[in-house]
Amino acid sequence: MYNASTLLQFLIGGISVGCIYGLVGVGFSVLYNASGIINFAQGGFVMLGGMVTYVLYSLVGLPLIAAMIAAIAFVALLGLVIEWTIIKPLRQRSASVFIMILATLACQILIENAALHLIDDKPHSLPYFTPGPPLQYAGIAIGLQTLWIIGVSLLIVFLLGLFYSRTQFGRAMRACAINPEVASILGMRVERMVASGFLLSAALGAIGGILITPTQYTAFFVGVPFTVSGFVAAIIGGLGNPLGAFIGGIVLGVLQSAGAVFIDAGYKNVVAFGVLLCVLFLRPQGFFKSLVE
Amino acid sequence: MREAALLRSQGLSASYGHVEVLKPIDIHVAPGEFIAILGPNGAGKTTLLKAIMRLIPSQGELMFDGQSIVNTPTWALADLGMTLVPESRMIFGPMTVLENLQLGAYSRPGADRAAVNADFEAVLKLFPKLSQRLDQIAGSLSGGEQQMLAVGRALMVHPRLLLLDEPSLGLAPRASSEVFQALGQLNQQGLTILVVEQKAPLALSLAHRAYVMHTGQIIATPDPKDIASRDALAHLYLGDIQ
Ligand SMILES: Nc1ncnc2c1ncn2[C@@H]1O[C@H](COP(=O)(O)OP(=O)(O)O)[C@@H](O)[C@H]1O
Ligand SMILES: [Mg+2]
Repeated sequence: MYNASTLLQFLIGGISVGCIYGLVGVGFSVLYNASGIINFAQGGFVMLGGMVTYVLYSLVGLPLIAAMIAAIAFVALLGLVIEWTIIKPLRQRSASVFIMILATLACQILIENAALHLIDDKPHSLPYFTPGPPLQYAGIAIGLQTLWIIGVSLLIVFLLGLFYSRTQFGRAMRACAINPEVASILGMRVERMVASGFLLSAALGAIGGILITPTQYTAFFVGVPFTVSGFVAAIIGGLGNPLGAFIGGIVLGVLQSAGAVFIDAGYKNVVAFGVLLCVLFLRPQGFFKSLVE
Repeated sequence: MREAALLRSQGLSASYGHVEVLKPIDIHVAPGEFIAILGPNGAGKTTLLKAIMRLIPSQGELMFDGQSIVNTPTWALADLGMTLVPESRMIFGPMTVLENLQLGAYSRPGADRAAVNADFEAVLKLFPKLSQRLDQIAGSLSGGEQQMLAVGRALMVHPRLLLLDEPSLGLAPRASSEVFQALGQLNQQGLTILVVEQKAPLALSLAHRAYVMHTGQIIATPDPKDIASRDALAHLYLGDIQ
């Protein structure tokens, strides 16, 4: 009932959206590595990436590329502000990680409501980065934006790998995650790593949101599903393992796509939560070796 | 009065909750000295080192190189010239040997590259075993090699004062004596060393002076060259075992 090219078409769609889940999952892992915090506002950063780009491009009239860069910078800065105003004071009072995670959930709600009231409640889209008809090959159509999504995601994961292994600051972020006390004895400032983790993960979320908006839409409410999918991706990959999270995202995207083909498109989140529960029951440490453990 | 000591504590005390684990402690370490702090398990030796490294809150005065460090954050001490080889080594296990050593030089500015490279060569010369294992995951090293890596990583800070917490802990006798031999060499090259140890003979064979801690206090300052005080130490440990 399904021919090979239809299935392949769905597979590519799954990989494409899976790259975005992957980027969000990488954001979770980067921050978890730096701080032990799971940031439930991560989906909010994805939503803001798309929404702020929309505002700057469609309402302010900036060129698309300028709007995108400004939106990424804005969201990254917001990540820093959240760290300064909420997480840092909590850390200084030795609040438990649980309290800090709850605080990020509150941030998600704040971000969502700010977007609703300051922008609007309607869905918006962005143009494809490069206009043109999809590439046709053997009965499969691959949209140009899909190529952008996959290409940019892979590039970012590659650059992140270089950052963690080749730069002294990246190595220090890993060291602070492994043993903050020893890291400080050697002169590393652990609280800076936490701030950098927020900055980096917020930027990753924004990039994901910008990449996907042209193929779907963005609206104030799209954040939470991305939080869920990104979190599942990070869990599949073994929390704290950025590369694992990215692969986990692709796995999840493909499974969701398969669910849409074989069951029903409405079962997306059922698939996501189902995968989450299975991983938590069967292999809570994830399927990939962590950088930390 | 000019401060001659590199490190000096005056009435340094610390508590966990309501328990005063460190009673007011006065110690000093002069430049070039090799000082041993001895004492049984639970005496408060690690707590003293943590207080010196500003890892736990404490009361009293603490001076490094004539400057108070009571309000100095831990991360800034490396830059001042003091670092610690922590108890049970605490190398960054999932990272390579090379990465561990590179991270030791974290606080040093990029302009110091030549000096950092010189220290790197010096560490490999001091511990030739490490040079064959630079790309190996640090967690897969033997206990003795991990201790060498922990000392090497601390040397990459280029400290003037090196603190060590029980470097012989969990090591085979041969590995411990290798590590202490290296510490002796470093001291002869001018590095000031403060080492905490339970294995008194090993530490006393190198130390210029020693402090003995018990229940959070300094209870004796034996002369390492004096055999009688070594015997007295042995009695102290026996007393503790029972
Ligand atoms: N984090 C802690 N919380 C409460 N008590 C502690 C803690 N760490 C150490 N202690 C207690 O402080 C005392 C001194 O410990 P420590 O400094 O580790 O001794 P040592 O290094 O000489 O073996 C011990 O009685 C120990 O039980
Ligand atoms: Mg101890």
